[in-house]
Amino acid sequence: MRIKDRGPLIVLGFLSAASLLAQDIPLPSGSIKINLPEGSPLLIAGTVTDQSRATARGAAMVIDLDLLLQLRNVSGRQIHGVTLRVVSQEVTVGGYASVAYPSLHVGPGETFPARIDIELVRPTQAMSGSLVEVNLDGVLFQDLSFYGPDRLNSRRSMTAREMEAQRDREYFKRILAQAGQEGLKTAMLESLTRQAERPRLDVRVVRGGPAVTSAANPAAEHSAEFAFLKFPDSPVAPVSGYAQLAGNEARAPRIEVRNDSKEIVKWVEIGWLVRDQNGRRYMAASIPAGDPGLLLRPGGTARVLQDTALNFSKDGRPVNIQGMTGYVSQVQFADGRMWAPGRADLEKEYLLNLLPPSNEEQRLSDVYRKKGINALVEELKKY
Amino acid sequence: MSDVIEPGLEILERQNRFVSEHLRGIFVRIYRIVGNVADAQDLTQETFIKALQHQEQLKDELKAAHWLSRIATNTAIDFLRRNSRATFCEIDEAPESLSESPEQALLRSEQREYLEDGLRLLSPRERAALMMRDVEGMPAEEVARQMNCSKATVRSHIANARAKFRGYVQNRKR
Amino acid sequence: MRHPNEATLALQAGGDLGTLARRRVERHLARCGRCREEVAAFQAVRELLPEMTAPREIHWNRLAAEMKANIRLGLAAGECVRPEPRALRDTPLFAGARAAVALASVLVLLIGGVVLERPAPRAEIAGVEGVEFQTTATGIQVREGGGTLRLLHGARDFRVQIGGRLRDVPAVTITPGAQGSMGAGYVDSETGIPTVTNVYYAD
Repeated sequence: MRIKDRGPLIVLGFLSAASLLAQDIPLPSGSIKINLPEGSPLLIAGTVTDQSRATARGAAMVIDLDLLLQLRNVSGRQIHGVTLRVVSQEVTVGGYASVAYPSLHVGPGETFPARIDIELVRPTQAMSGSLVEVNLDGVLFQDLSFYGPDRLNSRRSMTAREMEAQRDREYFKRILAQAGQEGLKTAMLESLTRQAERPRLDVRVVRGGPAVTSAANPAAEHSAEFAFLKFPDSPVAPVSGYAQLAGNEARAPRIEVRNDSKEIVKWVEIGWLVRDQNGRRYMAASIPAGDPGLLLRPGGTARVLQDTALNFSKDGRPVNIQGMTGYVSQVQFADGRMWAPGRADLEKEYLLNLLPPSNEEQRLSDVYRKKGINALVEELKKY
Repeated sequence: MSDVIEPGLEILERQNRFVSEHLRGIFVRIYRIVGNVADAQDLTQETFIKALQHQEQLKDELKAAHWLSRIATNTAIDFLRRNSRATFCEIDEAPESLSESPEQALLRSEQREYLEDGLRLLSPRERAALMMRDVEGMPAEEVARQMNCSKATVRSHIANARAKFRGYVQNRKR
Repeated sequence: MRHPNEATLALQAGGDLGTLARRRVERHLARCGRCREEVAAFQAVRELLPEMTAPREIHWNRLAAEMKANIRLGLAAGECVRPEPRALRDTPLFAGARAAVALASVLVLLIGGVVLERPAPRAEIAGVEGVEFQTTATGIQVREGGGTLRLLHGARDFRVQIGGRLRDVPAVTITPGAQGSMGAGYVDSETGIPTVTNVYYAD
């Protein structure tokens, strides 16, 4: 089912009404266009688009999207991930976003509900075409094969998430097998406790401007070195790393890595932890390899650089950074396969308490919390 | 000469009457959806200001009440969608009723907290649908009109809401 | 014997099924004690809900007077009057008076972006800091040139009782990407499907 694009006429009429009233207005259905190409493994089985609204203020429009798409798997294979690219405009920030559904398990012929719940902004002068377009960026199948244009590198991110999902699912299934329902319940409560106690900071990511430190007592900016956590079976080893630190700000991280495997590596992601004045550690950000054309031969080294500044605070107060730690969080080989640290590795380095739960762990703890232990056991038995 | 009422005054009169008539109902509706007095107050004010900025809509009394109600519901739902927090410290004002013992008051506020915790499991729309159907006793068609969605969608929200809330009550019992 | 699903029984408890469906369920209930108990359980829960009337602990007259005054002020000034932002809430965005101020700067940037043939690199625009993404307790904000947009908000946080203690568990996990992106991961409260939304710099 396609939503016809009645484009400019709808937009015009809608805009003048919007400017007059300057209040939330439901988006006319013609203003949202959903593009699934010919031969796509997914078809639209239904949509609810009347909950979206737009507020036109002056020359900008804020689009409050709340769409529900029923997507049907017509591929004949199991689908484990879908990523959509939602675009209003690509000129200024806030015009597009990706929405991914990892940890899916949609069999052939089945449908699943894909909700899109974000705000996008659009200058009202940019009036060509529909207000919002939803495009398919990628579909990940059970065997990790992929369909789609992959403009947002969704193949890589969905593959990584799928690996995490399988890792954690197996973990909880093992516990159920070895320790029964009581053991599973304990593990779930531990997971929820971990989620509740995970140290969190507010992070501001700034790009393209001078970094202005807002620390209470701004220290002179100095170059600080990363400490590294190393996993024994990691194909890539971190060699050295630095960033500029000043008070509660860390800027321009640069990390050198070495390919210790026998295969060509095309992507590395470094997890970045920071330590505050009390020695408490927090997950700060992930640093991806900056160069899209990275091809790291066995034994070769490369630098991961980013020209961004991170600014840390908690409850509105700046948090001064005393130290930084890095670890290899994702590696992708030239053939598309990925590596990520196992759960035992993370536990050993006390990382499990610092990292957010995987999507699958979030989903399973959600099932447990809302529906109880029996429902969780049923869920784990499904596949 | 002094019999002529200025048009400005007449509109003012009409607006004041409109507010007085509907204030409590709208406040209660919003309070049930967002769960605390402070936000309910803000959103009630916002609702009336939005509504009263469109005089044309207010000419028909019945339609006006209905329209106001819809604005209130959607304002509350949108607020919840955009401003969810785990903990809001509800600082209750001093109890108006002096005939209640401190134990009774405590029991009642514990009961309310217990219910409120359960309601947090619901999505904003599930909560709104449940409140309108099961607390206000609104028929499903009317709930659908208030929320600007289909009756089938309303049924789905209500079924999910009742199931989640009931799951919560049972889990707490254990 | 096939039993109606949970949703059907939940609807039956409130009399919300269509005529045909209701008759079918009633026939089943006549011979199934288990489902009768389920429906009774749903009805019991429904009866708890009317506790959620307006709190009796408020001074209604005072509150009403305050609201009426604020409404009057808001209409006169043509903007929405809000009390001082409370500590536990994010600054409301695009609300009333603040909208005019916030928008003015976003406006400049957006108009600038459209009038020029291609968007100026952000750092070159006079007086404008770099684009910022900021995590907040409820989602992700973007700040550009003094204007602020809220792009993503997560699912509601929830509380669980573990070992006798009530814990707050964040429902959304936000992951900043040092190359200029932010992702919010959560389980959608209506569909139950894990969702990860990412916002990016425009290039």
